[in-house]
Amino acid sequence: MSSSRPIWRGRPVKKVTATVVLCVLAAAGCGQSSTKQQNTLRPSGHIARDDFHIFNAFFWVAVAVGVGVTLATLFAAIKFRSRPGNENPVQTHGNTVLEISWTILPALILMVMAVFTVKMIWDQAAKPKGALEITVTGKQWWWEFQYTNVDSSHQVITANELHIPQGVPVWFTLKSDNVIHSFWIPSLAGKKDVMPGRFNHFQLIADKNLATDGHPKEFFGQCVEYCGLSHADMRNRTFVETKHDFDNWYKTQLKPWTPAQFATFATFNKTYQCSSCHYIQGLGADGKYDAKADADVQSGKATVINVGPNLTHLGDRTSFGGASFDLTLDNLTQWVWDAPRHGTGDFGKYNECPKRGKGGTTGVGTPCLVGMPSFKNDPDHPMSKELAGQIAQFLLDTKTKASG
Amino acid sequence: MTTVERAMTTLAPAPPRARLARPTRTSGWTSWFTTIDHKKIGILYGATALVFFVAGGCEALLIRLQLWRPNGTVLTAAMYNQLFTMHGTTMVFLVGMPMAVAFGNYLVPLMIGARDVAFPRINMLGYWVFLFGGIFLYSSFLVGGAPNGGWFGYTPLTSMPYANGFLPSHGPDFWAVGIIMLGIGSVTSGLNFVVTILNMRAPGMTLLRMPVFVWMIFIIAILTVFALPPVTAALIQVYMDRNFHTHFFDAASGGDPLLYQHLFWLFGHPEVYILILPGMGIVSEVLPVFSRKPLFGARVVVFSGIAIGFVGWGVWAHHMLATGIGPAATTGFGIATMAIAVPTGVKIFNWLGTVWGGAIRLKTAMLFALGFIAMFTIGGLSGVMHSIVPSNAQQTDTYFVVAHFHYVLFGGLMFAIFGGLYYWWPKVFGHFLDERLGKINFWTLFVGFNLTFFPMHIVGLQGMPRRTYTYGTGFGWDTLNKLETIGAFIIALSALTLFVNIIVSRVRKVEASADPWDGRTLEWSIPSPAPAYNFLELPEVHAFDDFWHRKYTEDDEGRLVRLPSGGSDGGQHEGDGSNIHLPSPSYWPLVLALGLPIMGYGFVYKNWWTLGVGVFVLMFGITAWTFEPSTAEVDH
Amino acid sequence: MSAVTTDTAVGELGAGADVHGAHATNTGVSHPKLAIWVFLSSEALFFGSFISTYLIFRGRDVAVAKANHTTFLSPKDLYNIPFTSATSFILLMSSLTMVLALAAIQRGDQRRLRIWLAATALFGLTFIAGQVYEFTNFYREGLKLSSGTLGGTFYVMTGLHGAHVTVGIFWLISLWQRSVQGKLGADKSEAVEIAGLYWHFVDIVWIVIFTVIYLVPYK
Repeated sequence: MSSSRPIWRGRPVKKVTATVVLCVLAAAGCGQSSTKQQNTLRPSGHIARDDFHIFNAFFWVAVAVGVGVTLATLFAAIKFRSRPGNENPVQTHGNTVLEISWTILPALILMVMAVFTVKMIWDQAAKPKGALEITVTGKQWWWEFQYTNVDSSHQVITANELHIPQGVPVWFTLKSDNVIHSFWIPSLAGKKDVMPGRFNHFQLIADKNLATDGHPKEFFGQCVEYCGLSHADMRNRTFVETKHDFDNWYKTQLKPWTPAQFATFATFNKTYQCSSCHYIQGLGADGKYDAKADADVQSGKATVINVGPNLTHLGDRTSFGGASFDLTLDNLTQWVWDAPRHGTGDFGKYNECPKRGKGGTTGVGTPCLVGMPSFKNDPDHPMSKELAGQIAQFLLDTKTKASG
Repeated sequence: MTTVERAMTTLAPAPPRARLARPTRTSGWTSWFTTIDHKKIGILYGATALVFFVAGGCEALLIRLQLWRPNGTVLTAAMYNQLFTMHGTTMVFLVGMPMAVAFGNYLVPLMIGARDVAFPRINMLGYWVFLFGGIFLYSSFLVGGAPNGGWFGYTPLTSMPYANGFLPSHGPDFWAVGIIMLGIGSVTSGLNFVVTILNMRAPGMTLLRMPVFVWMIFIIAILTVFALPPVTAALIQVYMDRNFHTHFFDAASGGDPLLYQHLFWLFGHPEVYILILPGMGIVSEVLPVFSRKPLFGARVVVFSGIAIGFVGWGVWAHHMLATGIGPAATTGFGIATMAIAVPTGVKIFNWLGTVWGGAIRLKTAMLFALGFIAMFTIGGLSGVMHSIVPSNAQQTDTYFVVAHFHYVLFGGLMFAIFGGLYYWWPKVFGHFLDERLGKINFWTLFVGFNLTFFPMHIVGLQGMPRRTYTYGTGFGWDTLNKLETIGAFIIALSALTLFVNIIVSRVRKVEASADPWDGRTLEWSIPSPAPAYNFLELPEVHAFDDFWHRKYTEDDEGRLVRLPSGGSDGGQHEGDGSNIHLPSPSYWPLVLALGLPIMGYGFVYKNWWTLGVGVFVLMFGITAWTFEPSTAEVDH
Repeated sequence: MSAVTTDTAVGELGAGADVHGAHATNTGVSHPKLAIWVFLSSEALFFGSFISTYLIFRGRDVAVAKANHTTFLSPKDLYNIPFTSATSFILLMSSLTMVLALAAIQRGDQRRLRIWLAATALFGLTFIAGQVYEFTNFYREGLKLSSGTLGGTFYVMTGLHGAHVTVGIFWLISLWQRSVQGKLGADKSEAVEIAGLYWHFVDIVWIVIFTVIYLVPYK
C-alpha cells in the first residue's frame, strides 16, 4: 500500500497483499477451484473493493494483535511454569503506566479506523451521478428487478437475473411486500436489507474491463436475511456486460410474444392458470396480445401480477426457481410437473410447499401459495409428465433468437 | 365492600395450616424439589443447563451433517430451520444464561461471606421457571413444529398471523411465549443477585473488595433486569400480531418491522454481555490462583467490566447496520462499537499481566482459562471488524458472523465454564475431576473448536450466508464445510469426555481438601463440599483476596511469603453448625412455576380453559406462598 | 399476563417468610424494599417500551387510511375524555388513600389501616370497571385490536396497565386479609409500604399513558 493514496480508494490493491490475504484465509480452500464468483475476497466492483480494502487494513492489525496475544499466552504458559524454587513469584498488583498505555494505544488505532470508516460510510450512502436505477423487490423466494430509468416509458421487468453494463454506477431501490430479505452480490458490493414498508438504497459499480462483446462476466449472490422456508434457494445472478450487449439485451426484454406463442400458451393457461401468478407481457383478457396493457406496464402506470416471476423471457435466462437451478429442459420439466417433490435431487427443496387443494382452500391468491404447486398432484387436472415437458419446452423457446 | 369481601374469600382463603406446613427434608432426592439452598439450586441450574447443552449440541451436529456436502439431503429445509432456531435459542437462553446463574448462585454467597441469597424461595422459583420454560420450548417439537424464525425471530416473518402461513406452525408462538417465560425467570434471579450483592456482604467486604466474579455477576444482574423488559414488550407484540391481528409489525397497516429489531437488540446486545461477563469473571478467578499472583490491575478489570456494561446499552443497532437506518446512525453505532473494544482489550492485557511472571500450574482449569484468552481475543477482533461499517456490509449475516460469535460465546463463555467446572468441582462435590481426562477434554475441545469455527471466517468472507440449509457446488466452500463438520464431531467427543470424567471421578472419588488449589477467595476457607450453612462464623474481611492474605504476605521485594499460621480458616472447621438457623424448604416455588407453562399452552393454542387452569395454579401457588408459615414460627 | 406473575412473585416479598427484617443490610435498605425499587425500574422500561411503540406509531394508520382511501376511526370521536379523566382522578385519589393506610399502620391503627386499604382497592376496582366499560364501548364503536396500529397499541398498552392495577388490587386484599388475621402489626408496616410503592408506580404510569393517549392529539 503506497502511502500516497488513501487505502480506502477503490484502486487495485497491491496484488501481493490480496494474494497473501487470500492464501492465509483460504488456506484450506486453496486448490479448490471456485467456478462461481460469490466472494468478498475477490472484489470486482468499486464498492466491494472499498469494503475489502478497509477490511484488509484492519485485518493486519487484528493478525498482529491476535498472534501477539496468543504467543504471549503460550510464552507465559511455558516460561513461567511453576518449578521448584519458583513457587513464590513476585507479587505485582498492577502498573499504572501499562494500564494507561494499553488503554490509549488501542483507542488511537480505533480512532484512525473510525476516521476512514466514517468517510466511507458517507461516500457509499450518496447517490452517484448518472446512475442506472433498478428497483429490486424481494419476494418469497425470488427477486424481481425493474429497470426504471433506462427508458422510463419502456421499463423492463425481469426476475432473479440482473444485467448491468460495466463501469456504470447502479443505484438500487429495495422494497418488499412480505418479509425482510437482504440483497447481496458479494463481489460487487456489500449487502443491504430489503425492508417491508421502507425503501432502502445502495450503489455498486462493476469494474470497467470485466466483459467483452458477447462475453458477459457472471456473478452470484443470494438472500442473506433469513426469510422463511426456502431462504437458501433465494439466489441471484448478475451479468456484467458491455454497453452494447446490455442495450441489446434490454431491447429483447421488451418484445412481446408472437400471436402463435400466445395461442399455445392459452391452452396451458386454461387448465393451470399460470397467469394468475406469473406476469406474461401484454397478455389480454382474451388471451391475445393487448398493446395498451403492455404500454401501461412498460411506462410504469400499471403494476403487474408478481406472485411468481415474469415468464415472458424465461428462455433468455440461465436459471430459474430463485436462480437456484440451471435452466435445462429436464430441470424445468420436473419443476413444472412437480416442483415440491421431495427427496429427488435439487427439487427436495420445496418439500413443504402447500398443495393446491380442491375448492380453493389453498388455491390461487391465498397467501399459502408461496413457491410452485405440484401440478402432478393437482386434484382436478393431474398433469402428465409429457405435458410438463411440452410446457417446459415452450418456455425454453421464449429465448430470443440471436440477432447480433 | 361486599364485592371485595367475596373476592377476598374466594381468592385468598386461609388454607388449613397442616397442609401448608413447610417441608423439612433437606437430603434425599425429594429434597431437590423443595430445596431453597442456593448451592443446591446452583447445582440444579448447572445440571439442567448441561442437559440442554447436549440438546443444543445435537442440533448443531445435525446442522453440520446437513452441510457436510453441497446439496445435502440429511435434513429438509423445514427441519433445518427449526434446528438452527432451537440451537441458537437453546444455547443463549437455556445454556449460557443459566450457566452464569448456576455459578453465580453457588458462588456469590460464598464469595461475599453470606449464608444464602436474599430471597431463597424466589431463587428456586427462578429455577423452576427456567426448567419449565425449557421443557415448554422443547415440547413444541412433539406437537407439530418447533420455533423456526431464528433465535432473534425477526418480524414480520414471525409476526404474520398463523393463517397467512409465513411460518405455518405454532413454532413462533411457542418461541414468543417461551422466551417471555424464561425472561421472567431471569429477572427474578437478576433481582435476587442485585439485592444479595448489595445487601448481604460480610463485614468489611466493601464493593471494591468483592471478587471480580461477583462484580461480573452484579453487572449482568443489572443488565438482565433492565434488558428483559424491552424484549418482553416486543414478544407480546409479536404474539398479539400473530394471534389477534394487531399490526405492530405489519408495514402495510402502519406498523414497522424495524421497531422489533430495535426492541429486540436493546435486549439482545446487553444479552451478549450478560453471556460473556460471567466467563470473564470465572477467568479472573482462575488465572490468579494458578499463577500464584494477584489479578493484575483488579480494579481496572472491574471498572472495564462496568464500562462494557454501560457502553453495551449504546451499541444495539450495530446488529442492524444493513437495515438502512441511515449513514448518521450507522456512523454513531459503528464508533460506539469500536469504543467498546477498548475496555475489552484492557481486560485481555490485564489477564496477560496476571500470568506474566507467575508460577503457573497448568491444571485443566488453567488450560481452559488460557484458552479463553486466546479464543476470546480472536472473537473480539472479528467483532471490531464488524464495527467497520463498510466491512460489516460484507460480513453481516454470513458465516463470518457465525464464526465471530462462536469465538466469543463458545471460545469465550464455554471455555470459561468448562474451566470453572474443573476449578470449583472439588468445592461443590468434595472430589476432584480427573486431570488426565480433563486435559484430553481441553485439547480435543481446543482442536475441535478451532477446526469447526475458524474455517467459518473464510467461507463467510467467500460469500456463504448463514441460516441456509444448503449450498451449491462451485462456490469453493465444500472442503471448508467438511472440515467444520469434522471439527463439530471432535467437539462432541470432547463434551463426551467431560461427561465420562464426571462419572469416572464420582466413582473414584479423589477427595479434596477445603483449599485444594491454594485459593484466594472466601469459598476456599470453608470445608469441601460446602456445608449447608456455608460459614460457621460469618467472616470478617480486611482486603481484596482476603483468604489469600490470611495465608501469605509479601517480603520487601514483593516476593510471596507464607505466613507461619498458614491458612487459618477463621474457625470454619469446628462445630457442626446445628445452631445455625436456615430457612426451611418450600413446595410453592414449584407449584407457582407450574402455572406458567400451563398458561403458556393456553396462550399458544388460544385455549382459554387451559389458560384459566394455569392462572388458577399460579394463584394457588402465590396464595399458599404468602400464607406459608415462616420457618421462625415452626422452629421457635 | 405473564408480566403479572413477576409482579406478584415480588409482591410476595412484602409479606413473605423470606423477610428477615431484623438483619442489618449493607445498604441500610431492607431486601424487599431494595428489590421492589429495582423491580419497578425494570417495569418502567417495560411500560416505556409500549409507550415508545405508541408514540412511534401515532398517526401512521391515518396516513395508511388516506393512501388506501379508507375511512379512519378518529380517536377524537371515540374518546370520552371527561369520563376517562374522572376514572383517572379516582385512581390518583387511591394513591392518597394508600398513603393514609401506611400512616395508619405506622401509628398502629389497624382499623384505619383496613379502611384505607379497602378504599384503595375499591378505587382501583372503580378504575378497572371504568376501563372495562370504555373497552366495551370502543369495541362496539369499531375500534378492534386489528384496527390499524391504534387498535393494537391502545388495547395492549392500557390492557397491560389494567392487569397491573388488578394485581395491585389482589395484593391490597391480601394485606387486608392479613390485617384481619392480626398478622399485620405495626412491625410489618414495610409490607404496606412496599405494596404502596407498587401502587404509586402504577398510578404514575397511568398519568403518562393518559397524557400520551388522551391529551396528545393523534395527528
